[in-house]
Amino acid sequence: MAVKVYIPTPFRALTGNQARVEARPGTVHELLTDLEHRFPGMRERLRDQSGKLHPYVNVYVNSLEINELEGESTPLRDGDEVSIIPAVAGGQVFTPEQVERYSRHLLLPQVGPIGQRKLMNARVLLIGAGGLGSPAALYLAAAGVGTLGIVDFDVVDRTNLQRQILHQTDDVGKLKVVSAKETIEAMNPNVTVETHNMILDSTNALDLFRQYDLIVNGVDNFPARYLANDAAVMLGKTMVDGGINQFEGLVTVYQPGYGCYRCLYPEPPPPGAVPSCAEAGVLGVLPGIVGSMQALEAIKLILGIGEPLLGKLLLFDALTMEFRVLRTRRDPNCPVCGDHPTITELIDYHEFCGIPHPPELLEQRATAAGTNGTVPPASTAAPARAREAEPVAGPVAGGD
Amino acid sequence: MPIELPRSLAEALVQHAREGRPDEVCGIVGVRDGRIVRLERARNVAEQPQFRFEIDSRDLVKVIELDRAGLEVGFYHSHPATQAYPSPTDIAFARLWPGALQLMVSLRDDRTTGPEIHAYRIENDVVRQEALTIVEE
Repeated sequence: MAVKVYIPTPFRALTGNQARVEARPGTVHELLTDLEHRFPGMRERLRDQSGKLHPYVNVYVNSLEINELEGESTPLRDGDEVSIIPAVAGGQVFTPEQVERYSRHLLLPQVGPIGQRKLMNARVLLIGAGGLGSPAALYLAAAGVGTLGIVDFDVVDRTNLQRQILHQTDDVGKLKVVSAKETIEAMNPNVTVETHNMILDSTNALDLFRQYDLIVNGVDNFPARYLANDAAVMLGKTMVDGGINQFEGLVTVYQPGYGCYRCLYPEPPPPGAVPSCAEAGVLGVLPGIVGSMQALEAIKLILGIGEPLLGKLLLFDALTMEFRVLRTRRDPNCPVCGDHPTITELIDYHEFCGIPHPPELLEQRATAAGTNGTVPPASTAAPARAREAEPVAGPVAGGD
Repeated sequence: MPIELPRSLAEALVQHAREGRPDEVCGIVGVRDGRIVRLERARNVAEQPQFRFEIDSRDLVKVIELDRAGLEVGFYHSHPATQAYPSPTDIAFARLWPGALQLMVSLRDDRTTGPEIHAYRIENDVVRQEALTIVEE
């Protein structure tokens, strides 16, 4: 009788291709020493220079790893089977291209390889590829956020180019999601862009939001803003919100427990009370600043560093260059995120805001364009279009 | 001759990778006459499973069972966010199993063009890609 030793394929070159060899009982240590003497090269495979068993070699006695027994002192009896199996390990790391591309992130202790990995695994949804969505998308892509979803139904218009830096002159007339995807992929091919060319509405918002870890809100109208807010609350998703109006901007983060947009603005303003960017104008660089701050907040949330704007509303005045932070809090009576919510499923947000439905708006656009049914660029569209009825001031709603 | 991967096993492989995302998942495969016939899930015990894997030593004993059944032993693991190509870490650890079949499934483009599976053998730090065909059973 003896102890049988199972030799795995990587070691069989040492044992003359034998899958099993026999050894005398004793301890595991004695058995291994015996093998090391019988099979030249075995010692180097089993032990490091100090003679310690290599951490990547597993030794088993009757299918139990010796670390769970008595290590190398484990006694062996006749009929026992000893197996030696090298570890199987590995892992995705950065490609040389990524090491270079993200080198300034990798240097930061707060990011480093683990943080960069978090960014690469993150899935962020951008609502709107316009004034706020453009800088947010570009910085998130440059930072290496692995997957960016972009939802927008619009086409690029010449009036967008003054601020919507995802789109170039040649993109006029192109779907915004297509133009956005091209720009982002040209900037960072490591990023996967998922395009959602559709009007966000009550029938699709939950399914869409569910696919992402984090929502960055760049909507330009009240119905979409309430819709995005309610959908995020119902799914427990964190949303980085931004808004702009002529020379003023704001940024905040809504997260379960810290309140939502409805806590601040339970009701929309009367239709037309708040002028849109198309009506009132906006300094082009302003959404650049606000959207960049949204990207910053998103990155902090993904990395879990710093203090995101939870329960805080950051207001920015571009003319005086003043930042103010207002404290906000969850309203226990909020109809969506309060203690006893009354809105538990998505509603009709156009009705809620007193604004025509998108199909009617598209119809108006088609009519304005003539009878060929094509969608005209935004500047020629009927002013009643939802995105041009974009509310941007006071009750902070605008995003563009 | 390309390595044959039956569709049901390819789906099981992708399913495992998706369940584990954002962590890497890993497992053991058994090959007979160039065809993958067994797929055994293993636990990933790496300290940073989002970008490392190490097959739990308790699961690694399945290697013996597959070997006894006359199967060639290979392995698989997932890359949740990067391409299905051996990383420098994969290549370094392949020194422990020179020439063993290594399947890699990438979920990088899972939601667009779909998951990707590739097969490799790595010996002396040289990566050789093996043709892999998904076959109907």
